[in-house]
Amino acid sequence: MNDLRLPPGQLTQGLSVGGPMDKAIAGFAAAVVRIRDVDPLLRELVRLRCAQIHDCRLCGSLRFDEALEAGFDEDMQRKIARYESSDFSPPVKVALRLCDAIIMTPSLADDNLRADLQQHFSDSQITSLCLDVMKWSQQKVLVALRMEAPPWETTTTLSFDAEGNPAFGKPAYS
Amino acid sequence: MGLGLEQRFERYCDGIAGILSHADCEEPARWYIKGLMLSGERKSIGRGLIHNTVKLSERLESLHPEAAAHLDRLDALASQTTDGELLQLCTEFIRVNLEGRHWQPPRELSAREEVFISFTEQFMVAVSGMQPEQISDLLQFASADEVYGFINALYVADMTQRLDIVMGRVLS
Repeated sequence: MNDLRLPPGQLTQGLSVGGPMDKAIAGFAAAVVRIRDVDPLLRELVRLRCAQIHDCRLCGSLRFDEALEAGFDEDMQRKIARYESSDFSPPVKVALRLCDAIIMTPSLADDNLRADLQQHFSDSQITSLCLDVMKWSQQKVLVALRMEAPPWETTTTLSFDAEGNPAFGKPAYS
Repeated sequence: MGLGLEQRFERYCDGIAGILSHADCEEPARWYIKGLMLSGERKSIGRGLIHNTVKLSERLESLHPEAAAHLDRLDALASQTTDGELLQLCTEFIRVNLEGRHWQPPRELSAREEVFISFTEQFMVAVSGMQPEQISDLLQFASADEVYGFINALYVADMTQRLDIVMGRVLS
Protein backbone atom coordinates (compact mmCIF):
# COMPACT_ATOMS: atom_id res chain seq x y z
CA MET A 1 0.00 0.00 0.00
CA ASN A 2 1.43 3.34 -1.01
CA ASP A 3 0.70 5.71 1.84
CA LEU A 4 3.93 7.69 1.83
CA ARG A 5 3.50 11.12 3.33
CA LEU A 6 6.68 12.64 1.94
CA PRO A 7 6.97 11.27 -1.60
CA PRO A 8 10.62 10.35 -2.29
CA GLY A 9 10.69 12.84 -5.19
CA GLN A 10 10.38 15.68 -2.70
CA LEU A 11 13.38 14.57 -0.67
CA THR A 12 16.91 15.51 -1.69
CA GLN A 13 19.28 12.57 -1.62
CA GLY A 14 22.36 13.42 0.43
CA LEU A 15 20.71 16.41 2.09
CA SER A 16 17.87 14.84 4.05
CA VAL A 17 17.67 11.17 3.04
CA GLY A 18 21.21 9.82 3.23
CA GLY A 19 22.40 13.15 4.60
CA PRO A 20 24.55 13.92 7.67
CA MET A 21 21.78 13.19 10.17
CA ASP A 22 20.86 9.87 8.57
CA LYS A 23 24.53 8.90 8.60
CA ALA A 24 24.96 9.92 12.23
CA ILE A 25 21.89 7.90 13.22
CA ALA A 26 23.26 4.91 11.31
CA GLY A 27 26.62 5.37 13.08
CA PHE A 28 24.93 5.42 16.46
CA ALA A 29 22.86 2.35 15.57
CA ALA A 30 25.94 0.42 14.47
CA ALA A 31 27.78 1.35 17.68
CA VAL A 32 24.84 0.01 19.70
CA VAL A 33 24.78 -3.22 17.71
CA ARG A 34 28.48 -3.73 18.46
CA ILE A 35 27.76 -3.82 22.19
CA ARG A 36 27.34 -7.49 22.80
CA ASP A 37 26.73 -7.99 26.48
CA VAL A 38 23.09 -9.10 26.21
CA ASP A 39 22.14 -12.38 24.59
CA PRO A 40 20.71 -12.18 21.07
CA LEU A 41 17.43 -13.85 21.95
CA LEU A 42 16.62 -11.22 24.56
CA ARG A 43 17.67 -8.41 22.22
CA GLU A 44 15.35 -9.80 19.58
CA LEU A 45 12.38 -9.86 21.97
CA VAL A 46 13.08 -6.25 22.91
CA ARG A 47 13.45 -5.29 19.24
CA LEU A 48 10.12 -6.87 18.37
CA ARG A 49 8.43 -5.20 21.34
CA CYS A 50 9.62 -1.85 19.97
CA ALA A 51 8.25 -2.84 16.55
CA GLN A 52 4.86 -3.68 18.08
CA ILE A 53 4.51 -0.46 20.02
CA HIS A 54 5.64 1.73 17.15
CA ASP A 55 3.71 -0.34 14.57
CA CYS A 56 6.82 -0.63 12.41
CA ARG A 57 6.05 -2.97 9.54
CA LEU A 58 9.68 -3.28 8.48
CA CYS A 59 10.95 -4.27 11.94
CA GLY A 60 8.01 -6.63 12.39
CA SER A 61 8.90 -8.43 9.18
CA LEU A 62 12.48 -9.17 10.27
CA ARG A 63 14.00 -11.86 12.44
CA PHE A 64 17.53 -11.50 13.82
CA ASP A 65 19.53 -14.47 12.56
CA GLU A 66 21.49 -14.94 15.79
CA ALA A 67 18.21 -15.11 17.72
CA LEU A 68 16.87 -17.74 15.32
CA GLU A 69 20.04 -19.75 15.94
CA ALA A 70 19.49 -19.33 19.69
CA GLY A 71 15.98 -20.80 19.44
CA PHE A 72 13.70 -17.85 18.68
CA ASP A 73 10.41 -18.93 17.06
CA GLU A 74 7.06 -17.45 16.11
CA ASP A 75 5.44 -18.74 19.29
CA MET A 76 7.74 -16.36 21.18
CA GLN A 77 6.84 -13.56 18.82
CA ARG A 78 3.14 -14.08 19.55
CA LYS A 79 3.74 -14.01 23.29
CA ILE A 80 5.42 -10.61 23.27
CA ALA A 81 2.15 -8.67 23.15
CA ARG A 82 0.98 -10.34 26.39
CA TYR A 83 4.35 -10.93 27.92
CA GLU A 84 3.32 -10.30 31.52
CA SER A 85 0.98 -13.31 31.52
CA SER A 86 3.28 -15.43 29.35
CA ASP A 87 5.75 -18.12 30.39
CA PHE A 88 8.73 -15.93 29.51
CA SER A 89 11.42 -16.05 32.17
CA PRO A 90 11.62 -13.26 34.78
CA PRO A 91 14.67 -11.61 33.09
CA VAL A 92 12.79 -11.42 29.78
CA LYS A 93 9.71 -9.94 31.42
CA VAL A 94 11.69 -7.30 33.25
CA ALA A 95 13.60 -6.37 30.08
CA LEU A 96 10.30 -5.92 28.24
CA ARG A 97 9.00 -3.86 31.15
CA LEU A 98 12.04 -1.62 30.79
CA CYS A 99 11.29 -1.27 27.09
CA ASP A 100 7.68 -0.27 27.84
CA ALA A 101 8.79 2.25 30.43
CA ILE A 102 11.13 3.98 28.01
CA ILE A 103 8.75 4.03 25.07
CA MET A 104 5.42 4.59 26.76
CA THR A 105 5.69 5.93 30.29
CA PRO A 106 9.05 6.78 31.82
CA SER A 107 7.32 7.24 35.18
CA LEU A 108 6.85 3.43 35.19
CA ALA A 109 10.56 3.25 35.92
CA ASP A 110 10.15 2.97 39.66
CA ASP A 111 11.98 1.31 42.52
CA ASN A 112 10.39 -2.06 41.71
CA LEU A 113 11.63 -2.00 38.14
CA ARG A 114 15.06 -0.92 39.33
CA ALA A 115 15.23 -3.79 41.85
CA ASP A 116 14.01 -6.35 39.30
CA LEU A 117 16.50 -5.17 36.69
CA GLN A 118 19.39 -5.20 39.09
CA GLN A 119 18.50 -8.72 40.16
CA HIS A 120 19.05 -10.01 36.64
CA PHE A 121 21.33 -7.56 34.84
CA SER A 122 24.48 -5.52 35.39
CA ASP A 123 24.42 -1.74 34.87
CA SER A 124 26.24 -2.28 31.60
CA GLN A 125 23.55 -4.68 30.41
CA ILE A 126 20.73 -2.40 31.54
CA THR A 127 22.32 0.43 29.61
CA SER A 128 22.70 -1.81 26.56
CA LEU A 129 19.01 -2.61 26.68
CA CYS A 130 18.16 1.09 26.98
CA LEU A 131 20.35 1.88 23.98
CA ASP A 132 18.73 -0.95 22.04
CA VAL A 133 15.32 0.59 22.70
CA MET A 134 16.56 3.95 21.45
CA LYS A 135 18.10 2.35 18.38
CA TRP A 136 14.91 0.45 17.53
CA SER A 137 12.81 3.55 18.14
CA GLN A 138 14.55 5.19 15.21
CA GLN A 139 11.63 3.67 13.32
CA LYS A 140 9.40 6.34 14.83
CA VAL A 141 10.62 8.65 12.07
CA LEU A 142 9.80 6.18 9.33
CA VAL A 143 6.45 5.23 10.86
CA ALA A 144 5.42 8.90 11.21
CA LEU A 145 6.13 9.31 7.51
CA ARG A 146 4.92 5.79 6.65
CA MET A 147 8.20 5.05 4.89
CA GLU A 148 8.68 1.74 6.67
CA ALA A 149 6.83 -0.72 4.42
CA PRO A 150 9.09 -3.73 3.83
CA PRO A 151 9.98 -4.43 0.19
CA TRP A 152 9.48 -8.17 0.76
CA GLU A 153 6.40 -10.23 1.52
CA THR A 154 7.88 -12.98 3.68
CA THR A 155 9.47 -12.75 7.09
CA THR A 156 13.13 -12.10 6.37
CA THR A 157 16.37 -12.55 8.26
CA LEU A 158 18.25 -9.60 9.72
CA SER A 159 21.98 -9.86 10.29
CA PHE A 160 24.78 -7.46 11.12
CA ASP A 161 28.36 -7.40 9.89
CA ALA A 162 31.34 -6.89 12.20
CA GLU A 163 30.90 -3.11 11.97
CA GLY A 164 27.26 -3.33 13.05
CA ASN A 165 25.80 -2.55 9.62
CA PRO A 166 22.53 -4.34 8.87
CA ALA A 167 21.88 -6.76 6.04
CA PHE A 168 18.65 -8.36 5.01
CA GLY A 169 18.89 -11.82 3.60
CA LYS A 170 16.80 -14.82 2.96
CA PRO A 171 13.36 -15.89 4.21
CA ALA A 172 13.56 -16.47 7.95
CA TYR A 173 11.78 -19.81 7.76
CA SER A 174 11.98 -22.34 4.96
CA MET B 1 -20.59 37.46 44.75
CA GLY B 2 -17.53 35.34 45.46
CA LEU B 3 -17.41 31.59 44.97
CA GLY B 4 -16.72 29.19 47.82
CA LEU B 5 -13.28 27.68 48.15
CA GLU B 6 -14.46 24.29 46.89
CA GLN B 7 -16.19 25.81 43.86
CA ARG B 8 -13.14 27.88 43.03
CA PHE B 9 -10.98 24.78 43.27
CA GLU B 10 -13.31 22.82 40.97
CA ARG B 11 -13.28 25.70 38.51
CA TYR B 12 -9.48 25.67 38.62
CA CYS B 13 -9.50 21.91 37.90
CA ASP B 14 -11.96 22.47 35.04
CA GLY B 15 -9.58 25.00 33.55
CA ILE B 16 -6.63 22.62 33.71
CA ALA B 17 -8.66 19.67 32.38
CA GLY B 18 -10.02 21.78 29.55
CA ILE B 19 -6.62 22.35 28.02
CA LEU B 20 -5.43 18.76 28.22
CA SER B 21 -5.17 17.19 24.78
CA HIS B 22 -6.49 13.79 25.73
CA ALA B 23 -9.78 13.15 27.48
CA ASP B 24 -8.33 10.21 29.38
CA CYS B 25 -5.80 12.54 31.03
CA GLU B 26 -8.57 14.55 32.69
CA GLU B 27 -9.38 12.35 35.65
CA PRO B 28 -5.71 11.64 36.54
CA ALA B 29 -5.04 15.38 36.32
CA ARG B 30 -7.85 16.13 38.79
CA TRP B 31 -6.52 13.55 41.24
CA TYR B 32 -3.00 14.87 40.77
CA ILE B 33 -4.05 18.44 41.58
CA LYS B 34 -6.06 17.27 44.59
CA GLY B 35 -3.05 15.28 45.75
CA LEU B 36 -0.95 18.42 45.66
CA MET B 37 -3.44 20.07 48.04
CA LEU B 38 -3.09 17.38 50.70
CA SER B 39 -0.96 18.10 53.73
CA GLY B 40 2.11 16.10 54.64
CA GLU B 41 4.79 14.47 52.52
CA ARG B 42 3.52 13.87 49.02
CA LYS B 43 4.82 12.05 46.01
CA SER B 44 5.13 14.32 43.06
CA ILE B 45 5.90 12.54 39.79
CA GLY B 46 7.64 15.59 38.45
CA ARG B 47 9.74 16.14 41.50
CA GLY B 48 10.79 12.51 41.62
CA LEU B 49 11.87 12.51 38.02
CA ILE B 50 13.87 15.67 38.33
CA HIS B 51 15.65 14.69 41.51
CA ASN B 52 16.45 11.14 40.46
CA THR B 53 17.73 11.97 37.02
CA VAL B 54 21.43 11.55 36.39
CA LYS B 55 23.18 12.93 33.36
CA LEU B 56 22.74 10.41 30.59
CA SER B 57 26.02 11.28 28.93
CA GLU B 58 28.05 10.75 32.12
CA ARG B 59 26.67 7.25 32.72
CA LEU B 60 26.98 6.30 29.09
CA GLU B 61 30.56 7.48 28.86
CA SER B 62 31.56 5.26 31.73
CA LEU B 63 29.64 2.20 30.55
CA HIS B 64 29.64 2.39 26.75
CA PRO B 65 31.98 5.17 25.60
CA GLU B 66 31.71 4.50 21.87
CA ALA B 67 27.91 4.67 21.83
CA ALA B 68 28.13 7.74 24.06
CA ALA B 69 30.38 9.51 21.54
CA HIS B 70 27.95 8.73 18.72
CA LEU B 71 25.05 9.99 20.80
CA ASP B 72 26.88 13.24 21.54
CA ARG B 73 27.45 13.72 17.83
CA LEU B 74 23.78 13.03 17.11
CA ASP B 75 22.75 15.52 19.75
CA ALA B 76 24.96 18.24 18.26
CA LEU B 77 23.84 17.53 14.70
CA ALA B 78 20.16 17.52 15.65
CA SER B 79 20.19 21.19 16.57
CA GLN B 80 22.46 22.12 13.65
CA THR B 81 20.39 20.47 10.93
CA THR B 82 17.01 21.88 11.84
CA ASP B 83 15.56 25.13 13.17
CA GLY B 84 17.24 25.24 16.58
CA GLU B 85 14.68 27.53 18.18
CA LEU B 86 11.78 25.38 17.03
CA LEU B 87 13.52 22.20 18.16
CA GLN B 88 14.19 23.76 21.56
CA LEU B 89 10.51 24.64 21.93
CA CYS B 90 9.44 21.10 21.03
CA THR B 91 12.13 19.54 23.22
CA GLU B 92 10.90 21.54 26.18
CA PHE B 93 7.35 20.39 25.42
CA ILE B 94 8.52 16.76 25.51
CA ARG B 95 10.53 17.21 28.69
CA VAL B 96 7.69 18.83 30.61
CA ASN B 97 5.20 16.19 29.50
CA LEU B 98 7.52 13.29 30.30
CA GLU B 99 7.95 14.75 33.76
CA GLY B 100 4.16 14.65 34.18
CA ARG B 101 3.84 18.42 34.36
CA HIS B 102 1.65 20.74 32.37
CA TRP B 103 3.40 22.61 29.58
CA GLN B 104 2.82 26.33 29.32
CA PRO B 105 3.96 27.93 26.05
CA PRO B 106 6.65 30.52 26.77
CA ARG B 107 4.75 33.02 24.59
CA GLU B 108 1.86 33.12 22.17
CA LEU B 109 2.74 30.55 19.55
CA SER B 110 2.77 31.24 15.84
CA ALA B 111 0.66 29.07 13.53
CA ARG B 112 3.88 27.34 12.47
CA GLU B 113 4.86 26.58 16.05
CA GLU B 114 1.35 25.31 16.80
CA VAL B 115 1.45 22.66 14.08
CA PHE B 116 4.95 21.54 15.03
CA ILE B 117 3.92 21.24 18.69
CA SER B 118 0.84 19.27 17.66
CA PHE B 119 3.06 16.94 15.63
CA THR B 120 5.48 16.63 18.55
CA GLU B 121 2.68 15.62 20.90
CA GLN B 122 1.52 12.84 18.58
CA PHE B 123 5.13 11.77 17.97
CA MET B 124 5.85 11.37 21.66
CA VAL B 125 2.54 9.75 22.63
CA ALA B 126 1.98 7.24 19.80
CA VAL B 127 3.64 7.62 16.45
CA SER B 128 1.42 4.88 15.04
CA GLY B 129 -1.53 7.27 15.39
CA MET B 130 0.06 9.97 13.24
CA GLN B 131 -2.40 11.17 10.60
CA PRO B 132 -1.42 12.22 7.06
CA GLU B 133 -2.91 15.65 7.78
CA GLN B 134 -0.36 16.22 10.53
CA ILE B 135 2.41 15.89 7.95
CA SER B 136 0.50 18.06 5.47
CA ASP B 137 0.24 20.72 8.16
CA LEU B 138 4.02 20.73 8.58
CA LEU B 139 4.47 21.00 4.84
CA GLN B 140 2.57 24.28 4.86
CA PHE B 141 5.49 25.78 6.75
CA ALA B 142 8.51 23.73 5.70
CA SER B 143 9.89 21.83 2.73
CA ALA B 144 9.91 18.04 2.66
CA ASP B 145 13.65 18.06 3.40
CA GLU B 146 13.11 20.33 6.40
CA VAL B 147 10.26 18.18 7.70
CA TYR B 148 12.40 15.06 7.37
CA GLY B 149 15.27 16.78 9.18
CA PHE B 150 13.01 18.03 11.93
CA ILE B 151 11.48 14.61 12.60
CA ASN B 152 14.92 13.00 12.82
CA ALA B 153 16.05 15.68 15.26
CA LEU B 154 12.85 15.17 17.25
CA TYR B 155 13.59 11.45 17.48
CA VAL B 156 16.93 12.25 19.10
CA ALA B 157 15.40 14.79 21.50
CA ASP B 158 12.52 12.50 22.44
CA MET B 159 14.52 9.35 23.03
CA THR B 160 17.48 10.90 24.82
CA GLN B 161 15.12 12.46 27.33
CA ARG B 162 13.32 9.17 27.85
CA LEU B 163 16.64 7.40 28.42
CA ASP B 164 17.79 10.17 30.72
CA ILE B 165 14.75 9.74 32.93
CA VAL B 166 14.64 5.95 32.95
CA MET B 167 18.37 5.33 33.28
CA GLY B 168 18.51 7.83 36.10
CA ARG B 169 15.98 5.75 37.95
CA VAL B 170 17.08 2.18 37.26
CA LEU B 171 20.88 2.23 37.33
CA SER B 172 22.71 1.78 40.58
